[in-house]
Amino acid sequence: MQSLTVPTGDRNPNGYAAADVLEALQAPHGSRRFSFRYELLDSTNATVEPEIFGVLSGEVSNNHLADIKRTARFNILETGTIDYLSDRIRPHARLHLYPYTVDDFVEWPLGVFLLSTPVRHIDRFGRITRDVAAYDQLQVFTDEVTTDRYTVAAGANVVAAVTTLLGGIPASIEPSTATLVTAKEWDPGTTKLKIINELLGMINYESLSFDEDGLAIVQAYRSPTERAVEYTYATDQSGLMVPEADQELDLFAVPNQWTLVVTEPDQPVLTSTYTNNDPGSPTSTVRRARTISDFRIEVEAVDQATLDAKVARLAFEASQVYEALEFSTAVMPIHSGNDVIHIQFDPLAINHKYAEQTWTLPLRAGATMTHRARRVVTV
Amino acid sequence: MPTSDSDPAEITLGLVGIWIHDPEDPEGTAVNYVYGAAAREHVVDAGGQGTLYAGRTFQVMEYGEHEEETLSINIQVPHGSTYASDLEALDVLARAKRTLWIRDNRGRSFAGTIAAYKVQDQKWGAAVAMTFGRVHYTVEEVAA
Repeated sequence: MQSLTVPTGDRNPNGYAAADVLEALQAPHGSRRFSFRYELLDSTNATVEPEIFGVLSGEVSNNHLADIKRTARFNILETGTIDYLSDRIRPHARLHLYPYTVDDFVEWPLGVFLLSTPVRHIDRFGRITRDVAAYDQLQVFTDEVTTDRYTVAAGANVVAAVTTLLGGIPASIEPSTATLVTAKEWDPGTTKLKIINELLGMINYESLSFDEDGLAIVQAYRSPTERAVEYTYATDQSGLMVPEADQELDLFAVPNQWTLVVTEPDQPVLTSTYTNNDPGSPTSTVRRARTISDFRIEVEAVDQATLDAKVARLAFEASQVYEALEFSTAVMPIHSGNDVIHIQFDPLAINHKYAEQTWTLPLRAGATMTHRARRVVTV
Repeated sequence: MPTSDSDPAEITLGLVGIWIHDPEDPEGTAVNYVYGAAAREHVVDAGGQGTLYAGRTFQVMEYGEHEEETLSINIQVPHGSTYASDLEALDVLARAKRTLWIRDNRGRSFAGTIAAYKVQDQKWGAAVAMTFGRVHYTVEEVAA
């Protein structure tokens, strides 16, 4: 989640404190004011135009479990200022604060997007527009494939190997001492994103993502249970959740035993099993009086400890699907990927911590933002 | 930035009726209609979307940067020597399909476009009605 204490400078010209920003977001006095800015960038993310005015509407979505996590749609008036093959757009949501002078605002970036070049449409008034599907910079690593067999040598530092593949783009990288036990190879034609994510998966890191400013993020996976709540949605006087919501609860096919096996040449077979036998868990082997297995072979892990961590992560993530909540709120541009939020939704007697899986934010004042969050359950 | 040839001066502009001109050529296009001053309607809509949230009894309004502003005008063109030319000038403006500037004797002044242009024949002349919808207009600042 982006910080309520947004940086000073251009994004907070009057230096508003987090409490002021929170109050303006939650609208205790009944009204809010938003506007949106669309910044045109070149292929290196350098600003070409601080604000372009041809974007008629837009929408940004984030799916933390997808390969390309952040996507957008823009309806753009054709003005000839955009090079669709190389330019990028970074939308910003601007929250205006009292007394609403020109500099009374805070602004959050919403991602850097590469633009598709769709069909142009002309209406009966001669106005030419494009409905542009846009993708974050993960698209770059999906489009580029290896032309030869790609090898990472045994003993190589995994994060260093990922850093090499990123090719010097601006990145926030959490270091690790983990190294490859055996050399790892990928066939020609493999996408760079697949290689990067497989390497990151070996050391229990999150898959590659990009933040709202276009910075590549390489970081270790941390269970939502270990992470602090970043924002609370509640059905109270400062609530911003609309009354309608859907709660999914499907326990039927949830496994209660997970086994991962590693069979790599030049490496002993590694096996790790995690069994949910907790009587307090409704899906445990004890409560259901039977075992529902999830068995996976050819998993990659550099050592037994990593495999144990991976099977524990798999068990945790598999159990997260057992409760999902789809809800809608006012425009909340503070969200990022995999946010940990607390939801207190009285009409469904919900009062729990969730990990946000997807959200969609229409770039329009007064719009409704949709969310899907999964409840964090320790099995 | 362009500069002016003379010193800036402050004066109070006293207008009668409605003045309309092309902002690109004020001197050459300005027209003035003096009758119908009491039959105008000025509407400003700040937009906004109201939403009801769980836990709150009343809606929360959210506003964007956009506004809509219209000025409904009624002009009376009496019979006389300028009747035909006055009506023709209005007809030209109604078909102009471009941004015009309107001012009136109540201090209103903004750029807009004409819509819903209507002429009703009367015993005394013609009653002309139109709606002037405000549009975005970047005013070029002139350095003193």
